[in-house]
Amino acid sequence: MSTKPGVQPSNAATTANIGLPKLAVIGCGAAAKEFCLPVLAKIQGFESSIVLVDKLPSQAESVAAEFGIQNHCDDFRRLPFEVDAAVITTPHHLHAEQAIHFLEQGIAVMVEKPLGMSAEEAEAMITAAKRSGATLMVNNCRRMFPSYREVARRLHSGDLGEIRKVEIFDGSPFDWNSVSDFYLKNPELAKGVFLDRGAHTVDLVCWWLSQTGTLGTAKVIEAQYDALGGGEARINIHLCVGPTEVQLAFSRLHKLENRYSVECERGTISGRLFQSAMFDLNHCGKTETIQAGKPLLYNEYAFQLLENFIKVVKNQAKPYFTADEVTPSIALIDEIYRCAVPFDMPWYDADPNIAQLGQLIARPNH
Amino acid sequence: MKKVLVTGAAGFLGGWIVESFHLAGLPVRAGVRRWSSASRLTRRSLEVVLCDVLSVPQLREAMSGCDAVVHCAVGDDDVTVTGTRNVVTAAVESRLKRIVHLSSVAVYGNASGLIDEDHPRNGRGNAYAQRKIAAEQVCEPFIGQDAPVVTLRPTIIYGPFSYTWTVSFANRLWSGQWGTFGNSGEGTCNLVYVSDVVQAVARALQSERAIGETFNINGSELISWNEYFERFNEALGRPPLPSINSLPMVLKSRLMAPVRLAGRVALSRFNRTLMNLNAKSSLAARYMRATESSLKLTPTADQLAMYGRKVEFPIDRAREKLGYEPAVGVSQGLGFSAQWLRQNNLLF
Repeated sequence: MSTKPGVQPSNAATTANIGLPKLAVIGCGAAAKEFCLPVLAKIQGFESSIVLVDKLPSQAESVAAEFGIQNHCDDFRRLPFEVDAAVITTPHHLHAEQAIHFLEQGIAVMVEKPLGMSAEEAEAMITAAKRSGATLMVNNCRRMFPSYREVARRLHSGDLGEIRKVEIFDGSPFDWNSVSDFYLKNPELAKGVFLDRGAHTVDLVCWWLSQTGTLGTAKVIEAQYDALGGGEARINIHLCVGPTEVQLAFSRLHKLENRYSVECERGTISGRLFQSAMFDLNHCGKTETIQAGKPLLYNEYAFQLLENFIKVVKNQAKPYFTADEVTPSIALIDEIYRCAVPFDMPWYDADPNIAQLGQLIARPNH
Repeated sequence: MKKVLVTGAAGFLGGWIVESFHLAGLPVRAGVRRWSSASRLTRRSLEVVLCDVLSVPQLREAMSGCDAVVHCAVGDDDVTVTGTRNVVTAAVESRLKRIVHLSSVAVYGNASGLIDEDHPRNGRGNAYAQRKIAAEQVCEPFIGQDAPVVTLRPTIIYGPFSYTWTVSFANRLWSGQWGTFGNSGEGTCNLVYVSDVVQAVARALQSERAIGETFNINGSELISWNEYFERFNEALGRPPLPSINSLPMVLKSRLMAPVRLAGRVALSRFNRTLMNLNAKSSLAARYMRATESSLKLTPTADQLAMYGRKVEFPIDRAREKLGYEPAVGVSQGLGFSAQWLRQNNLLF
């Protein structure tokens, strides 16, 4: 799971020159509009090379008009022309079925994170890709952060010794401008904050902790969440992965510290979660700020990854990372969900007003 | 009661009303302006609908099948004033049996002393107070035509999920740079725990004697702001607070006022540019974080004045006509708040 030598992202915006394969964009919601179409629209000939697909014809039509794209339809199984690749930006629960449909035909797929809803789904997608030889990539775009890549390099080099403890706080009020309400309305289809944000952060943990190329055995010590019949809005997790203690906290209600720290035998790395090119290294009692590259805007990392995918489809590059590198994180998310129990919340359970509310309303008028 | 619609259900109080009613087995429908704000509500299996108070068709749809509305939605002038007019109009058209309008003691302005519900309203110099007064005035003609409106004016509502009175003060106390303010902090802190307000709402939905009336809703204990800081600090398990000389704090507050204003203008006009700068320049990001932190730790002139103001909002009318009696004391309320803050990783 280490960073591939010779497969490094470039900061140069070369998109316009790479040419576009025939491409289907499945799902015309916020992810397509924010992360996908702005970069595709820079490529010469995009107007006729892309087909937009959305089950709501009006949505596909309006996004096609917004980006000047000629082709759109409402069924990913019935495209108006053959495509070389598909970019899937639909709700989580649709990823596996749609990706497998294309992969089985040997068509390369880039899927929005999370790769799938479960380890089984992720495995099925990877199996389909392997069987047909098609490329399967996933938009875990935080892997493109120069800071995260440099942290991975230093951890994997072994210079800092064994990793003892990883701590990550990841939270902010949910503000994703989702066109559909799937994120919140149907928890069985979207789960909660953990699948959403954990798809990035747990992947980060798995990537960093795979010093030897594979992840050690993970044991969930404690996982507590606030799901009370719906999707969780926060979760606190305590794990052991091999010899490493891992503490994670996620929230979509409040802004958390949004920082990480990795305590090793011979030094500690710490940084801010969304500072994409810089971190601190405390080594031998001295703290050094490491500038790992030129910082970009968040969307620009997703653009880099999409650009890489297009080059991979055209046999002009190797993938920065493939979907099977991300699979251990999906399996770990699954396992954590299986172990998670609700928090004790005395502000509900021990509140004297809530205890009497039913009686109060049932009682005749005062 | 068939079903109660709560507008502004994604907010602090609206969310509490919905969750509490749901826990008590009372039929409730949560109205939210947009789905992305519904994370707290969708943790539970309860009914959430889109209900932008500026959209009359959405309001009518949201009220269908309900027999009461609790109006908590608040925002800019349009949302607060026009939104209230829309809610009350739609509720009257839909023949709802009860409209509980959540106002605020902010409508009394900077008054001091004993302030009952008949005290004149005064919104001078306070945009929030002006909006809440205007929203109350919107309801008055309907009350005159016997619409079943009940107006509640809660004091300082604190508890889990409150950013203004719980998270922000916890951050200040946790920073180690906060303290008590001597005589300048001996003003009255009229705290009411959030579920006490939920109780008042439930009673306002039930009581026939409440119709057309306005009620102060306050907590059970009158403490000073200094005492609030000390007791909250203790609940958080922090070392005792120092006493802060209020004069330097006043000076700092005045010095920071233009920074605060500039920050507000910059955020409203150049938000995207600032975000980009924050992402691309570590120096700018550090400066912005330091400024934000300094602003959070410096009370505004209005806040300092509030810490010194001796004012009390009696609840005699609510006791008499609603049967309201606050049930959560300050120690219990702060205890719940501290537990919630810890569990939510909000102490930093």
